[in-house]
Amino acid sequence: MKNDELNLDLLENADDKTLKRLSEEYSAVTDKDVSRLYVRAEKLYDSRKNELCPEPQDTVSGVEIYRRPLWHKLLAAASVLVLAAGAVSGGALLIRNFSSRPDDSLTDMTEPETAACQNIAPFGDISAARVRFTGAAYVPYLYEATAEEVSELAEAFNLAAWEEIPADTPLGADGESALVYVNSDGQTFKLVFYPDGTADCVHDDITTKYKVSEVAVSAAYEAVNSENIYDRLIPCRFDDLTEDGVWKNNEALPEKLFDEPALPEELEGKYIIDNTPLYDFAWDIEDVRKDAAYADNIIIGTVDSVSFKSHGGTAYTAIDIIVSEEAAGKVSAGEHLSLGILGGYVSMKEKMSDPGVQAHASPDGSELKDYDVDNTYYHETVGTGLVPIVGREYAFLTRSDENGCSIVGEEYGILYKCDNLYISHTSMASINEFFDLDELSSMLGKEDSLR
Amino acid sequence: MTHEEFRRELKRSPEQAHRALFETYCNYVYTIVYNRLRSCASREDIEECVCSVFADVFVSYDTDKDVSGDISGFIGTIARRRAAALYRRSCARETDLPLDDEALQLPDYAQDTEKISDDGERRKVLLDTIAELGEPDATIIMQKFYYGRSARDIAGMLSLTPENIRVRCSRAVKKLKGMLEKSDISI
Repeated sequence: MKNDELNLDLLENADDKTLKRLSEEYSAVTDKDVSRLYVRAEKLYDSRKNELCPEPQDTVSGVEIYRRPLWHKLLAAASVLVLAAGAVSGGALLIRNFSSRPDDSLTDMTEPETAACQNIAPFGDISAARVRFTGAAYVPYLYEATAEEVSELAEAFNLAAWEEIPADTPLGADGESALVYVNSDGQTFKLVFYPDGTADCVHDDITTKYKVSEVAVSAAYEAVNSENIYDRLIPCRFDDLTEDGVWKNNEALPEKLFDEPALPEELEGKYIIDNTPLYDFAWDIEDVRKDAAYADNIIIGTVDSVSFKSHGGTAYTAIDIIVSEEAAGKVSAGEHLSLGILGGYVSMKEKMSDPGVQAHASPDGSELKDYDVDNTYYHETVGTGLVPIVGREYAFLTRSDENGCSIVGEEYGILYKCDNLYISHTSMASINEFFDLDELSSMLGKEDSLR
Repeated sequence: MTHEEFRRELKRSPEQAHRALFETYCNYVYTIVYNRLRSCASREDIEECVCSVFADVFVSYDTDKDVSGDISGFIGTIARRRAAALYRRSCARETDLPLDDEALQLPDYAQDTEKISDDGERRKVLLDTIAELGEPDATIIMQKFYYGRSARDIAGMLSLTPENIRVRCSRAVKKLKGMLEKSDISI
């Protein structure tokens, strides 16, 4: 770059505050531009106004023009199935359920002509519905819109023109799609927006395709790509990314599933040596499927306390839980249970083969006094060294033998309970897998298949 | 302008209400749209986008809705959406991601938040430093290097000669670079 040039790209894609400041301090347009642009804006306004509410033409009186709402097609298809099964009462219930939606009453069947200008999306007004979004950047997580965000989206959807086109119309442009899931009083559907300005509405495996005006497509993409989602992401299994499945889980994933344990009070002021003991595990304990295969039970419980203990020179972490439920019927809900995993703190004294000896050799060859031995502890880390968080609920993959009940797979045999899903973790802290309880249960005791 | 004022104007004369709104917020909307699209869209496309924003505002404004307060939030939202849509259509690279392990990774919250906050702070320092140059140098710098205007256009805006603009601009750039170096910002 020349000496007398500047690159002000830093100012691009700025936050609202910076944009306000820029517009207040510097003119982006001249007065002449303002007049010219106004004329163009009014022309665009006139043409859009006419698109939405065309001037009345010569009409034949007594004929009602109606826009067929999407629900009618869906309702018709659903009713056929219901009637085929002979479940007349079920059909009636279905009709009642659909008609209970305030924006989609059966009276919509014959909308007057003026209704076309009342700006209602073909699938109804979603302003009172629950809405969740996902996109390529964060699938299989979703986030749920606030009432204000839903209202903005509904406004854009109602404002837009939705022209039904053949369902097999090929995509006009490649790119990421924006997924919007709607749940209106239990009636669910999915909207998939594409960069070419089309959208699919999917309900009960029936897809209706639309050519949609930009205001709706933009609103959907903007919502999906919102920056304000980091603490709102709800995990969802890939198989559940359907119009019904996405509502199974209702809890956002917290920033931390496990936490780094604090140094116990009694060890404050002691000399702590970090140590990573090598354990030879019979299988890859980070693989939750293998841990489950060697386990015989899943115990779900809330962590009551986490403490560090040692035995025979081995450090372990005691996790006390209050049981909520378990699969094998061996413990009851409300029962307190103490489970252990390897790792934690152990004193040098305990580690030494002969604690009565007055002097010992340190790793660097210098002599250790009793004082040093008494005040030195090893912090042994097995796996990530993280522990479950007190007050949170987890699923523990366990196995019982003559010595009692123990966790299989150490910390990797503990899965965070996020509403109806159980989230595994690995030493690659950002990679998680989601399981439901049935899936986890079906993985139990399959050790033969791993041999 | 507030929602109440705009509604009152609309009742009196829609055309005058539109004009008043346009004149008040044209600079704001242009700033938003230009900020998003300056490096990838032509000035004509940016202007068309600005006009579309106002057409959207005029079409979608619901006079029956009891909304109060400053109308700039409503206009700003539509402007950002329009600009984002045009950016996606004309400027964004195709970023199709396979749904493999990468998709299972949680976004790096800490890094993203830190970057957003860091960029915001650097923008503030940059604008503060440009403002410290005083007028007309600050305007010359912004019009030339941010809005990409010629010395002749800037001269027209500031009632100076194009030659005068060039000389002042060259000096202001040197001065600004020196000031920014002290703030650890290189541009």
